[in-house]
Amino acid sequence: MKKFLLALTVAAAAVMLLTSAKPKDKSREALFQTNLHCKNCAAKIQDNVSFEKGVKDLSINVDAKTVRIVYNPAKTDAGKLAEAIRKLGYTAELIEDKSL
Amino acid sequence: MKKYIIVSAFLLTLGLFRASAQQIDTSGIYGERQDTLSASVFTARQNGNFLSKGKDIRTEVISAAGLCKMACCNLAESFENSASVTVGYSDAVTGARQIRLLGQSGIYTQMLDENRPVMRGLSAPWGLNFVPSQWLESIQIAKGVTSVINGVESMTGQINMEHRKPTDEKPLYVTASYMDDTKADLNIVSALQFDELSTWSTVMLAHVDGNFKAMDMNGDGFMDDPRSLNIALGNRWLYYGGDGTQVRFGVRAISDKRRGGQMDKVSDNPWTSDILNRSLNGYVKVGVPLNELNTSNMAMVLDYTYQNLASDFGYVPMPGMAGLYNGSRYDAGQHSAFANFLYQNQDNDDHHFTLGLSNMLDVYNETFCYGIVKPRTPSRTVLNDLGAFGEYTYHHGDVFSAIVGARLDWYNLAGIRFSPRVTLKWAPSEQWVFRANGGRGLRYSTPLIDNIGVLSTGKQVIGLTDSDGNMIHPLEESWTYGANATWYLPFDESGKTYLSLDFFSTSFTRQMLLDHKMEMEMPSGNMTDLVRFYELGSLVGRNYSYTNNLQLDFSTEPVRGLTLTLTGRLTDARQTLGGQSDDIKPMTSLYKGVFNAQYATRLNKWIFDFTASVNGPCRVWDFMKDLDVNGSKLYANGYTPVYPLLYAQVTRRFKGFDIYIGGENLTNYRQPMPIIGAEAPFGKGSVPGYSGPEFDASCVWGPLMGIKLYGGIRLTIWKKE
Repeated sequence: MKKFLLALTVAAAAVMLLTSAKPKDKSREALFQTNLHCKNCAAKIQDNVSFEKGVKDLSINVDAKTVRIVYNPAKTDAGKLAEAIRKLGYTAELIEDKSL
Repeated sequence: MKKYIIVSAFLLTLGLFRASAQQIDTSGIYGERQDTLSASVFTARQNGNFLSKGKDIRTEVISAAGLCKMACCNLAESFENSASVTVGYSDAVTGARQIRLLGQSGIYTQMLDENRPVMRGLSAPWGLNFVPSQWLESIQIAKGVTSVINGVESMTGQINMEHRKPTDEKPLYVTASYMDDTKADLNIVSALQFDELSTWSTVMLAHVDGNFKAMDMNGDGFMDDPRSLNIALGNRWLYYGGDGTQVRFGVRAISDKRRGGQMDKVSDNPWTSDILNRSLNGYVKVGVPLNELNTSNMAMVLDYTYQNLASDFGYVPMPGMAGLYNGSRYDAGQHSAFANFLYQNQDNDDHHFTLGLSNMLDVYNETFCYGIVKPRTPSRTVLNDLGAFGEYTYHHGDVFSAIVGARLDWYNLAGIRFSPRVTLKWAPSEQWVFRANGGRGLRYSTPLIDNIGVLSTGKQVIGLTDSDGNMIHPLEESWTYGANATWYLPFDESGKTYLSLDFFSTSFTRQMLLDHKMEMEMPSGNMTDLVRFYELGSLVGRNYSYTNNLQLDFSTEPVRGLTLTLTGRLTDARQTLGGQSDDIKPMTSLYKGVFNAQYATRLNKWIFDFTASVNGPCRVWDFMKDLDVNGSKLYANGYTPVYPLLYAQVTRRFKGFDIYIGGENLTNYRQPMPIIGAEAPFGKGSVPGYSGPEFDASCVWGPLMGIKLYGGIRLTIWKKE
């Protein structure tokens, strides 16, 4: 039992350390204005765009109808990400695209 | 009794003349569509279990994410992260699960399916098994007395299930899981919208699960879990008119077949329980705005359910006695019809009232045979509750709200009853929310169904029928009061770090009680075990039945992606029972603690869940104190032991599908001797030389099975442009 708890704690700590690191400097952040209107829309975008190549982080503001995506410019660009949102049935207007 | 009326009158007065209200949550009946409710910020990951900040009543929400934290094949398995709700087996044979809320049996918790009362009567013992978790979008657990709109059967609380919606943009959602005890589960959900504005939409739901191989891990000769096959199909429709008119209707059919009892290899003539449940439900809900601004509207809810139960427990023909059977048999049919008509008015943000009429009709046809008897003819019982109600809500910004509700009900077997209920909420700052509620609860009891475990005993059962042999259904009555304080810690602006304390007290003035007692058998002079039902107040002296509950909840997200929750509950439950030496309510745990940790990586591609609980002792029935295993008494101090439970799950998410593996009961703790007298299920006299206790499989307080490992997959296809 002790071994099991120890293993679980070590695994959780390792995953946290590996994944909670800030995105590297070469990452870029794009902000899109969309026409999403509800939590279901947000879930749909979250579940799909998160798995686009090069996406490193994603958050959605339902009130402001915006989608913020941190991505690796070597693997994708803002245009491809906008197209991924449009494929789901939403508009996607690029407001900002900056280096981090 | 008098003091409760005085307190109620005071609260009513307070509510009527000083209160300020809040909108009643009737969205399930009528109101905005769920998918258009504005959500402030969609956090990257949905919390699994959390306390709702906005609700007037202390409400714990188990979200879709929470329902994916464990195997959670059905509703009964969805409360493992909650200390508020305790789930246990009714007995060690049938696999029937029951919940406990505020230390009372789940029969005193009203179950709602999108604000329609469900799981009543015959479907109550197995109802939790009949709701596939993956059909659900969320579960809300409200503590204490709730709105009078759906009746006053909610005595300790209300559990509302929100199903996956027709407007979900998921044409296909499939889940499948498999456990190493050969339990398998498959769900298919398909939501379709038929035009751009989703004027018409539908969701089709299908479920099948089965337990295909019997296991006997403790070697007592009985299956740990029954072999079973459960099939459920549902179809729900939504019409959303441009003028705000909403029509929702749907159907659901269930078939559940299970066989428990002794393993086939144990005997040529094993003791078995065979249970077949079948159910058909249809409903329609209509909401019509009466003006352009939708400040007044009318709504109607109609619901019909037919439930059929065929069950036998060790029911076998008596050798050499033509026409006579031994064991017990319970066959029953139940027609339930519910109608609710509401008028709602909200001319301004401060004042809101609802008026309505409702009727709940239950028609039971029951045959109960016990012991060595000839098959009986069914007895027919009609239970009707016709009620008129009103509910006024005052809302003073976000600071204060009050809901004052009252019902006048005519019960065909008990006469007229008046039921007041009051809910108050005060949020003096962003950090603090205080709540209080109180009021009366009433329900017709169904003593045998409410205590279905007694069928899995070899004891005489007394007190279920009147002098004509018809099943009795007295009206039960309770008063519940409670308060809650929640402190949202100022350093976390997201509101995910909070500390919540609540206290609730439920006291019965009328209740059907179950008691175990040894009595002298005449004229033989032998002592015999009895299961006796009687009403509270039947004993000489002061009679009482109450529970007090204190619960503390803490939740926090110390770093992004890591959510920690810690919950503890203390229960003081007392009942005067003639057959017991103590007034501490038997088989009710004194405390429970739950710790849950979830970590999700960025973009939720990996999710780790871990839950640990410590389950406090229960006082056992007096007759259990003498049970011994290998010469040592099992419950020497009169209490069950404290035991831990551990759960863990790892989920990996890909585009369009998730896979997960996990384990339940990782401490491998099992209740010792869950079946008492397993050597002689047909009675003491059936085994020559047997001098042990009478057969009883109804005294379950812990896990029946050890470690269980499982794996599963969830497939989602989203609607595209």
